[in-house]
Amino acid sequence: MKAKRVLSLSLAAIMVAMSMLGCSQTDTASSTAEGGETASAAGDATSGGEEGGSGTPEVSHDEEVTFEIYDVAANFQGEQVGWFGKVLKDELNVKLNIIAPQVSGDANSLYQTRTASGNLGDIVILDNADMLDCVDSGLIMNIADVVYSFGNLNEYQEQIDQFNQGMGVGDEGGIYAIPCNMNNNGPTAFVGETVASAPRVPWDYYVGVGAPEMKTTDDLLNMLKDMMEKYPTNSNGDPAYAISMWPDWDGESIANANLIAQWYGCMPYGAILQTTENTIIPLTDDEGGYKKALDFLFKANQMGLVDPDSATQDWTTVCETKMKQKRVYLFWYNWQNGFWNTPSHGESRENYMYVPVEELHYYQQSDSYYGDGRVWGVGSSVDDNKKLRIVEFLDWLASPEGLQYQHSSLEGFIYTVNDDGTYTLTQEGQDRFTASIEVPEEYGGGYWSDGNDQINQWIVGSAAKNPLTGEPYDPSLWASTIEMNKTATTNEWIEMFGAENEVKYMEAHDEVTMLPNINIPLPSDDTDIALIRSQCGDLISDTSWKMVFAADQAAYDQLWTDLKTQLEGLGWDQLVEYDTEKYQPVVDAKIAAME
Amino acid sequence: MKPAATQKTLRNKKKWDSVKLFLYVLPFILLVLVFSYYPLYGWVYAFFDYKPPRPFSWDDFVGLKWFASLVESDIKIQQIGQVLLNTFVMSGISLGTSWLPMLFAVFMNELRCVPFRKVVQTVTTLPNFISWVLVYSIAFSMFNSTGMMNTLLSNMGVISEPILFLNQSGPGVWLTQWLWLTWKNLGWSSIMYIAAISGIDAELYEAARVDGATRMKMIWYITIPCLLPTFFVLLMLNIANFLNNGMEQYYVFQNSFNKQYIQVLDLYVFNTAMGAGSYSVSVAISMLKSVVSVVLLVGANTVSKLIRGESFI
Repeated sequence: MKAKRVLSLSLAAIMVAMSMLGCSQTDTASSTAEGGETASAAGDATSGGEEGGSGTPEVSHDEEVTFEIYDVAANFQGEQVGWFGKVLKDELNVKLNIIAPQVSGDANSLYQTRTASGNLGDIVILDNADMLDCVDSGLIMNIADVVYSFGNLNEYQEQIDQFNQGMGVGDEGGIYAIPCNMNNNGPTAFVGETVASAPRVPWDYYVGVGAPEMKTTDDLLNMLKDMMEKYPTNSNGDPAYAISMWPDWDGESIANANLIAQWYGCMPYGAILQTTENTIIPLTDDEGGYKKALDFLFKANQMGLVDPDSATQDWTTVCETKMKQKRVYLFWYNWQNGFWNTPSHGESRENYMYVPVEELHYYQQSDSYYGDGRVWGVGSSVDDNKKLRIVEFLDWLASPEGLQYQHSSLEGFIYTVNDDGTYTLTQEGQDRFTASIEVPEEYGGGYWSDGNDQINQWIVGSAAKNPLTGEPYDPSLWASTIEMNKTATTNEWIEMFGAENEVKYMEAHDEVTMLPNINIPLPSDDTDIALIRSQCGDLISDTSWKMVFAADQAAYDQLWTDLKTQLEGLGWDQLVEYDTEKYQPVVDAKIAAME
Repeated sequence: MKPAATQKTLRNKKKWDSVKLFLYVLPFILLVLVFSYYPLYGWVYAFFDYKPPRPFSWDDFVGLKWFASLVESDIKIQQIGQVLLNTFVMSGISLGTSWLPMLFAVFMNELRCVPFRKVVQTVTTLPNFISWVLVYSIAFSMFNSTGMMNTLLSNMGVISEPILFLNQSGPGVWLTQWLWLTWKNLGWSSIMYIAAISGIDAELYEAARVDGATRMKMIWYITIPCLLPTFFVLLMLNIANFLNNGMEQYYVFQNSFNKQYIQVLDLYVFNTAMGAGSYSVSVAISMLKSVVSVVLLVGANTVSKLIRGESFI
């Protein structure tokens, strides 16, 4: 009896203790938060006290150091292993522990908990607007004293300084952020072979319907109609459509229409469109690219060209069961080609290729000379020694040596050096994304893709020119690779259109405007604007889909009119005004960079 | 001396006993406080202009601004009104048909062929364990333009153009969603009733049989009255829980065409918060959700009092 009583009492005591433990969790959290703040205050004090960089600081590599890197771009969480891990260990005695909000399951709450605790990570990769907030909240360290001490980041000083001046937060003259994906080619350079969005169709089918010359988008639709009539199914007998879309990427407007808007020289940013004439017009402008894109899709649907499941299927469905099965005849994203185009399809003339439509004029951003909208920073709670090691690491990432590892991978295994100093991909190099390539033990072992740079974000982009070869770092842009990828399809295409690739064709026919890719830190929305944006965005996306699938022209026009009335009630005018003001500096900077 | 001391020890013992009893309940009181009352503190966000990662401060106090913003224009009133209508109608349909599992259990109990009964029970219970995401992919493969349903109908020559079931719009959405919910939950919800039926005294049935009652009459006069207390308890639980379980289903089924009729409060809160990071507004709206819950609970309590003469709160 007594034993029983003792047992039950102790059980009760344990439960009380456990529930108290549950409560005390918050206390620990808040005390760390305070600790974090003190640490950040200390960090500011030390960085302020140091002298500006003169000569390369002495950094000892005797001790192995692990950087915790909060990385919004990473698709992998945990320690960087494999060949790239080995390179970092050998070169700098550094280990990386990647924290990936995208993988964690709930990116928003991870961000909030970590920011609330006062320590986001030793290294932080964030979107511009979040970085502004974090610098403002004291979570990011000023690295102005050491950032240019190691020699390689100096090459990008213009871009880094310009970005930090534009932030308008933190100390005057402070360096808090280093933009991602910068290059050394100049503000309007574009090294790619394809523009972001343009009509692309299967080459054999295009030739099959007589390779018609197209002046307007109506000609394009008629050509697609012929194509659907002549080739109604794929080789398995599944029905094919000219156009298939997916709604799960929609934001403030439907993502697919945004891409088509670029054909009409307009680029949607929030509630506004930037045009190739460097003007800003509302997204809902009757003459704007977004409305024209909807017109195009509506007409296509009236002609029976649009997959009826477009508004209800998700991206995975459309990609796996349609694009990869040749059941969609019109691609617009340049990377969509990758779901079908292969050397063997190229030889059998089946690859998707750009087809010119005379009336279209494409909006294309140059390579991201100024950075691409994300930035690197150093967490405010690291100590001085670690700060040096981190900046040294960032500098190495921007060095030709580091960039070769990041973009071109391992010499002797992934590529070989030609007699003239340029590089050629090995067989392993060509297959590295499509097959499981085992890396020899001497390079770190494991599979190549597992050991690849899991940060998935670069200070300097692959478009930058490698001073050792005179070619971009990106293996797909090496002359040797381009030569290797020539197939029956590309040869026929080149013969028919008399240009080396679609970009060259568009430039020769004045069909594209190359706009400088400006990277100005834009503030994140305040709560009022964010609410208006979200509500208007939902309404625009929903109505756009209804418009594409409208029964007739009258219903289509009615939906557009209703949309504009409803938007007014949600505060649309205020949003347009806000966005116009927000993006005006970008447009101004573009005009300045083009002069 | 001695009796007084005994009395004192007795009183102490009594006191100690009650402390002990209190200690038994304490963990649960604490749990309720921590997990049910402490989160209410989060409601303060509705009165601030909160935006992470900026720390929370009094400077951002905005009073009732977010509540006012919900009704600041006709369009917004219309939107909130529609969301509330959807919530109430779908709750209504669901509560109004909450006797279905009971009926299902009663009829299943009447099945004399035991293997068949087991099969039916398993088949109807299984959907409960499928996540809504999977339910949608099943729905998509059955009802898309080239799915099973359209292929079947066009092979039979009923239709020439595919019917876009998933692009359905209008109030019919309410019914469709209720059908999906019922398909998923019916078997599972009836388990409680099956258990209750097995608890009914067999003598009642024997007596009724002796008196010449038919099977229908036994159901009507014995089984159902014996199940009613269970029914009302479950009804109350359903009412309290309904608004909490609603979101996933509507989230996966929502698209541009049915959004107007499918957006219930939870989904609206989610769409607003996740779409824009407008946490404060979302909190304000979700407080409305609590209002709806209280209304439903009090309503059900009153009805129960009127009909059965007893209340459950």
